[in-house]
Amino acid sequence: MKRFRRGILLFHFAVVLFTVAHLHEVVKHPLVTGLLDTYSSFSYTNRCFGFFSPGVNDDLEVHIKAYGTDTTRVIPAYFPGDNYIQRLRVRTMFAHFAENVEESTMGLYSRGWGLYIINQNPEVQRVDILVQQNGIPSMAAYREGQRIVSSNFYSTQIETIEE
Amino acid sequence: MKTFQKIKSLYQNIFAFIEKEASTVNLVFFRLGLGLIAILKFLIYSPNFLDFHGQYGMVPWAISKASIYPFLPHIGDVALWLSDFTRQSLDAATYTLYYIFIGACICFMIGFLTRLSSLICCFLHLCLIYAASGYMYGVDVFTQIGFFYCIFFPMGSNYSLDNVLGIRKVIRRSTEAGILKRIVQFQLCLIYFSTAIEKGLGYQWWNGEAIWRTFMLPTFKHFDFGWMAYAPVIPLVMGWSILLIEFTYAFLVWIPKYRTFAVISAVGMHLGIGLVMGMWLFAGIMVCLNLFAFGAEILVDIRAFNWKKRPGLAVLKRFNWSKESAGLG
Repeated sequence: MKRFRRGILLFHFAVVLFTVAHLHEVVKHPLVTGLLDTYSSFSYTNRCFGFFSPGVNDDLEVHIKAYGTDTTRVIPAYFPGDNYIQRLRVRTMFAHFAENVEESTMGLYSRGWGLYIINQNPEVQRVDILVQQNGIPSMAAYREGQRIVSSNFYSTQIETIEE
Repeated sequence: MKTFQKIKSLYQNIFAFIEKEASTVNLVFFRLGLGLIAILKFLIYSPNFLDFHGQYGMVPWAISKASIYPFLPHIGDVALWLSDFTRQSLDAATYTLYYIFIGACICFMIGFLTRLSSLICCFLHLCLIYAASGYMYGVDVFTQIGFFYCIFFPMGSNYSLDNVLGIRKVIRRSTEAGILKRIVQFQLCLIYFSTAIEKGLGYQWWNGEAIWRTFMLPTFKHFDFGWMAYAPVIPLVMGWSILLIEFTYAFLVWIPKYRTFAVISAVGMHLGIGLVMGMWLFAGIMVCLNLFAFGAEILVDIRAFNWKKRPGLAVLKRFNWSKESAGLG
């Protein structure tokens, strides 16, 4: 029993160390990556814990406009944000949306948002999604008068299909 | 032969260090802290639960399910099974699972059927975070780590309902409690050390820009920190301090003389994150892990501190720092 327990402990920390040291990026053997991914998926213990590293990225803001049959009238549509933690979760989602700047991931997320808004209100037929990036100036630039600048990062339109 | 002996002796020493008996009161603290954070983090968006975890939430199940390995548990699979079984709608089944999770957390906290409740907590928490991987941040990672560890350790061996009902005998000290403490200690050391290295690889943490940017990001903006640009030494010192705290943590916590300082600095850093960035739940789980890992040792260190050498701190001595007074004896 003691040996079994020790074996498990050694395995556990070997796996944790392997991931933390980023060795999984070097050793690409399918057996190793499969084992690591599986263990990590359940335990979460062997993750890369580099929060806000190596730097802090610009954050994103999502603007949504929903329309019904009358495309001149905007139907109010929002993401949940009753309290700060909810808003933080939503903001985290925006960060995950652009994590790898992959068109396919961003497309999936935006379709999810479009569907969410359409489900909120049966009147909605079209959802315009605009994602803007808040560019934070450096301290030196701020002293020279530069402020946070929002620039367009991604936009798409989700529509319901008439059958 | 000599090398083999040396390796064997090292192996024995390492495990003698890991398999040290410890008070099980520590486990009670861990149970309460972890359970409370897990409940709070879901209660906070209870009315909007389906917006975050539902079938047609902001990240629909079809998308969250597609982005994980097929063998991983997902709240959608469990809810589908439950709705078939109980003839509820999928949304109602999802809410039922939410209540089961909260119930399991309460059972886990009070130590009722502790092993089973920790298993349910771990499984449902995993299902919930996989359905919401889009909104996941540090607090979810650490809560899952905590629950995962709890499955394997006798969390209900002291101050639990299991004890009262005679399901489990009261155990005041155990090797398992010591092992869990060591595991969390090592895990924390690895986390802080690796995050310090990764932060140090970028220039933003060295010139203070990382702190400046964090304070200025609309996501975390609670106060106007624009003035900081005119006092760049403040974010610079803060950035260096964070690097120093995280980098040295892994070493200082093993030296009794510096342990209290290292842990208090880390706890202070997390409370600062809670205050400035509003990430109170993340701060809470990190403080809980730190206190679980090193709280008892800190009490011992404070007790052994030579107060006569530091007359200015004598006022602190009036407090009863003994392990017994904290229930850790």
